[in-house]
Amino acid sequence: MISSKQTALWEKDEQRWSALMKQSQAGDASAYNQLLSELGSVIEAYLRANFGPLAILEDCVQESLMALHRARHTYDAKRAFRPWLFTIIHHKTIDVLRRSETINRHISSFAELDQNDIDHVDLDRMIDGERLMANLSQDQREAVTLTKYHGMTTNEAAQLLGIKESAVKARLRRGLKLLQKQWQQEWVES
Amino acid sequence: MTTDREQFINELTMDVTPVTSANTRQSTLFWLGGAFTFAAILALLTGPYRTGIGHDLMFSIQFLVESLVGLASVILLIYTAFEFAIPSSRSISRRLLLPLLGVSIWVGFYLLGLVHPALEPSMAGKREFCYYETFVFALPIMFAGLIWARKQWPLYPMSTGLLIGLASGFVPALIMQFACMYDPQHILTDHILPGLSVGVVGALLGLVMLRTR
Repeated sequence: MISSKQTALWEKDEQRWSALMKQSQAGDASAYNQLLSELGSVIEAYLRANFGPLAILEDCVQESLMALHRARHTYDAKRAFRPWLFTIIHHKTIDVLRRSETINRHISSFAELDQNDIDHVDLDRMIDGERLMANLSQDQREAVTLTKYHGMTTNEAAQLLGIKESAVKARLRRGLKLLQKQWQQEWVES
Repeated sequence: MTTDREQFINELTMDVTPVTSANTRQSTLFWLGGAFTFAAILALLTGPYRTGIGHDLMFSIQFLVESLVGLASVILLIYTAFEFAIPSSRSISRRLLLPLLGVSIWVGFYLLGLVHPALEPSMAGKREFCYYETFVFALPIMFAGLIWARKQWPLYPMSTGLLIGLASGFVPALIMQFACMYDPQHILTDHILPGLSVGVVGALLGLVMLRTR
């Protein structure tokens, strides 16, 4: 239950950030510094609350701050500040996580290739997994990657993607079913 | 706050320059004014307008309404497209509903016109290349819209591109309502269809041009 004190605090923050952003848009460096410093902590708290202990937390915070910097001209003081702020953070975090996932995948592929005693069956499976994943739709691939590769719960994945948990479950179910079907089909053919 | 972040913020804020806050209403008005003027002048340069337009508008309510619905659709399409270029937590599907409904109603008028036309179908004022003219006139208008959106923060490149493309395609299509012959079937195939294809081009270009994050 949100108390009236919390609501008042929430309102106060909203008004202060909006005013600071307006000053920043006019070129006030100290107001802008204060705003980004405050938002840095807000973003960090938001990421911790939604994604848990992220290894790339500081990267996400700084990338989000950079995004806010680039998008600062799109803020309209007549509109609420928080939806604008969290939409940018949300999308930026997804971008950073996707990028980091791609980099990690490449690194682990190379690391496995470097091993002298490489297990060819495992390598085949790894390549096969990526190939099968490529046949999934973008939505299904996201759901499978976030839950099965990153070990997120469906609730966490839903928050990250900004959709309902039931939608993540549906995408995951369809994605896994499709993977299983493809794998079985290829196994029978071979 | 980490020292690293503090330094990062100091660097970001050190040389902050003033920026003009994006105003979607104003941009929509500028775009509409520019787009209709541009398409109307090009249509005039490539051939005469159909005679008796004023009379048609005054004495056929259906013709007046279908023209106004077309105009309203273009306004809704471009306003929504420009709103898509501004970060917002509002649902994309709900925001798409109104402009697409507007387009459906507009097209619906011409479908209705196949059995109950607003004006007597006639070849008067026919343009030889109205299909290509509609398509070509729309391209510069579409690029202007895409460039504006690119300067903002578009989160949905394909949808934004689609809406800009449709709005751009429908501006010359609406001009052709007065510059070319009136026959609902001709309007659907030679004015609306190229307008819709500009929408497809816009969606594809949006994927390329609006992925700037």
